[in-house]
Amino acid sequence: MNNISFGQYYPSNSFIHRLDPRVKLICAVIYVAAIFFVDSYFVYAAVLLFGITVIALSRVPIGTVLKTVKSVLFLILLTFALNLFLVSGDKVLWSWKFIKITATGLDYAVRMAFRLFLLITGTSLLTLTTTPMELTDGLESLMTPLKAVRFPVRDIALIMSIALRFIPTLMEETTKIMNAQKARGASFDTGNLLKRVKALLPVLIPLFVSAFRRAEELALAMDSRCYDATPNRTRRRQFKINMVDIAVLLIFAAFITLIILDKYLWGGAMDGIIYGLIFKK
Amino acid sequence: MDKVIEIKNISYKYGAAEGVDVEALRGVSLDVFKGEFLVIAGHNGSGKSTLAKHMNGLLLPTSGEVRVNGIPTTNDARIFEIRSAVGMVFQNPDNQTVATFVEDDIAFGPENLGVPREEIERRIDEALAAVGMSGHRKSTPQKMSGGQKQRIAIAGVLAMKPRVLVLDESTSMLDPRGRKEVVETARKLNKEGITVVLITHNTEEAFFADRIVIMNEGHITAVGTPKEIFTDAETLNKNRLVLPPLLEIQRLLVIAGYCTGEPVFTEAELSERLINLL
Amino acid sequence: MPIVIKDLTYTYMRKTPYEKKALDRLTLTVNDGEFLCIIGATGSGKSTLIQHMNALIRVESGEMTVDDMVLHAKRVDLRRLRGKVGMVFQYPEYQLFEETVAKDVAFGPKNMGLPQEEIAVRVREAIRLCGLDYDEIKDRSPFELSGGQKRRAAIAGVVAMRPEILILDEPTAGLDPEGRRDILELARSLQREASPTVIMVSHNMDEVARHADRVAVLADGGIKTVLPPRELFKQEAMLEELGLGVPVSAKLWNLLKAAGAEMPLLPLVPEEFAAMFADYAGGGKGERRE
Repeated sequence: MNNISFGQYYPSNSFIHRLDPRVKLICAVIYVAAIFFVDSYFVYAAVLLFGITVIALSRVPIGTVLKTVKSVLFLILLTFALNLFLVSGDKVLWSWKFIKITATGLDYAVRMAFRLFLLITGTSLLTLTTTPMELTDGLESLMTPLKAVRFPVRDIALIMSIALRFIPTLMEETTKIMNAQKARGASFDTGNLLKRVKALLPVLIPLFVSAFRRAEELALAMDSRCYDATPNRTRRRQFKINMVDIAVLLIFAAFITLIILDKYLWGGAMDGIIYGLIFKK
Repeated sequence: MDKVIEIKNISYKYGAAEGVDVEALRGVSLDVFKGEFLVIAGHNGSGKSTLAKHMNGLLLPTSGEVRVNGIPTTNDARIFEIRSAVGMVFQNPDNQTVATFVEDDIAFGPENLGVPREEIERRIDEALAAVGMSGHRKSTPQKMSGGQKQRIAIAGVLAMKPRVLVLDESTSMLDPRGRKEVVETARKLNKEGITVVLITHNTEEAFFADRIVIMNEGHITAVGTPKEIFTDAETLNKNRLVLPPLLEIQRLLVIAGYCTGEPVFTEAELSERLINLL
Repeated sequence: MPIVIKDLTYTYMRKTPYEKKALDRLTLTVNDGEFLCIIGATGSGKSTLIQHMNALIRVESGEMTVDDMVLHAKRVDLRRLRGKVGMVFQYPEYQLFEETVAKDVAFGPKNMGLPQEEIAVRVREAIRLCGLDYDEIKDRSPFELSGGQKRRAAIAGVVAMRPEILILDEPTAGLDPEGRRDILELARSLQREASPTVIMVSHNMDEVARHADRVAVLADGGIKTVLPPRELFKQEAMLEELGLGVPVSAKLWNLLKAAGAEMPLLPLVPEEFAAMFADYAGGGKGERRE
């Protein structure tokens, strides 16, 4: 039940919620790209501050955003550990037998973990403030040019929206099946990895069977409702870009420009400036 | 009377590819008349649901013919005309919505048909009002009861402005309250002029039908009004169905020498009759 | 082996905006050897309650014992508990997963760590108890069976654990009249031959009236009342208010009573109603004549 909140819409009427979904999608892409340009800790801090501001403006409780991290915490920790132990460097901070932790390793580990953290919180904010339908409509609209090369934009958009729609249903179903097997004495949290994976079969098989059954009925329901009747399908939602949307886009554009400029042109000047601001006084 | 759906001597076989060859329908003929409330009752596996899926061309007969408004369901070019005329709601309330939000889901049919935008918005409101779910436009079906989910599914079909509403075992997974909601919605729509075909194994739901068709082993084994069907326990039992308790009581009372005459379909009427006997 | 529950409280999604109290100081005793039905509207806490009974949900606040096992203790021997309390969920056929029926039924006993020979004995016995032909069905894939057979096979998977208490969550959901009657008969025969105590959650009041020794009514996470069906179904107004109903025979009894004709006992099933009414009408006329 806990990780059910991942990617779930959090209803509110903040201006972030009301932004054009296309704008939000573009901003999310900019944000993700920007993160991969960041090296310096001070810029990380700036990105974090920027992120916090956006979260505050969205009126989604910070706890709800952090919860999305919980479901991928394992991944973050793994990244941290891999970098920590596997990246070699000159300055050894700690060693035991063949295990060595170097300053470079620690630096990498912290940065990679933090990068992942920013990535998850940022992108989850997109799904928390945008309904799946808006999201798919937005994507469909952004991908429209691809129709020229016969790319099935509409089908892809529908597949995504249906996938999103069925996530909670399948989650619920998973819990039910797990409970049923637990009641028959199954245990899912003991033994080594192989044993645990094997223990999941009694859950996965019924889950697949059920997913296929659901898909079959859904297909009947969609056919009955004339799916694919005409190429001139009505698009109910019409997007209109307004001044706020443009302003937000410009802010994000400025944001990534600054980060790139900082890295390649100014050679980390921002670090220097911020460093100066903090420590000169 | 106007026939909306004509089913002429159809058979349906499946599984030929796997060499099992099951004959789900064997020479079924049935007309659905405009404006009627028709119940098709049968036990699980009697062929009733297979028959329903022939009514909008989801299945095509192996032999025989089905026509909707005079158009054969084999006419590929006009299949969407058929499907928007015969709306169909299915069994599992969780498997019929394509969208996370009610309004988007109801819009799915009319969007597919290319209905103009303003018209779609109007249809969403009308469809929700028709199933008594106005005010749920922005809700998500996920959090609703089974009965409400099925009413949303009905609204999704109504938005295509169908002439016939087919409920293909749409009550079988619901609790008594949900079942009542769906059946009452269907009755209301029927009074407003929509032809209803209700497929079920719960014979209670047939109390207020104009006609009841009973199926068994891929055949139609009986057709009649509720008064005819529900005074014939033997036929029901032969078809692996049972008399609902209210009618079972009347049957037993008749045997005991009380309570003669036509059957009644509400507890209030029966108790009134019984009081008069005392 | 009674179940004793005292002040059981449980909250879902604690400390989130979705926080919901599912059980609120619920107190209930399930007696040895009874057929107890649990009724309640959707969201009344039925499912949360039964999941506590074999520790699929752990006691958060309140007390609960099953026989000698204390479920509100820090550590509970889950293996032993789940062997004592068998749980058949709604649509149990959706949990079938093995290649053959015999293997699927063996899943529970295997998890209990029983020796091979014992497992074989139990599987054979459970399949027979559930009204299936062992030799005919043991090597078949559970996915090829008919709807009714699938459900029986799934129930056999629980019966093979030889639980003393059998919990059935809406065992007749989605079945046709014949299938419903068969499954309820199965529940009765299992009570006689295998699991002396049966707890059944049901929405169908006619079924409840026919089978229950006692009926527990749940509302807002608590027990509203626990009564034998003959007493309970006199309280039609209360049940209607909770979004529940009464069986047809009881409804007629209540209507007759309101019109001044109170039959001495409330009939639970059509046969009883017809017989009691005949008695009442006959007797009544007789008296009047005297």
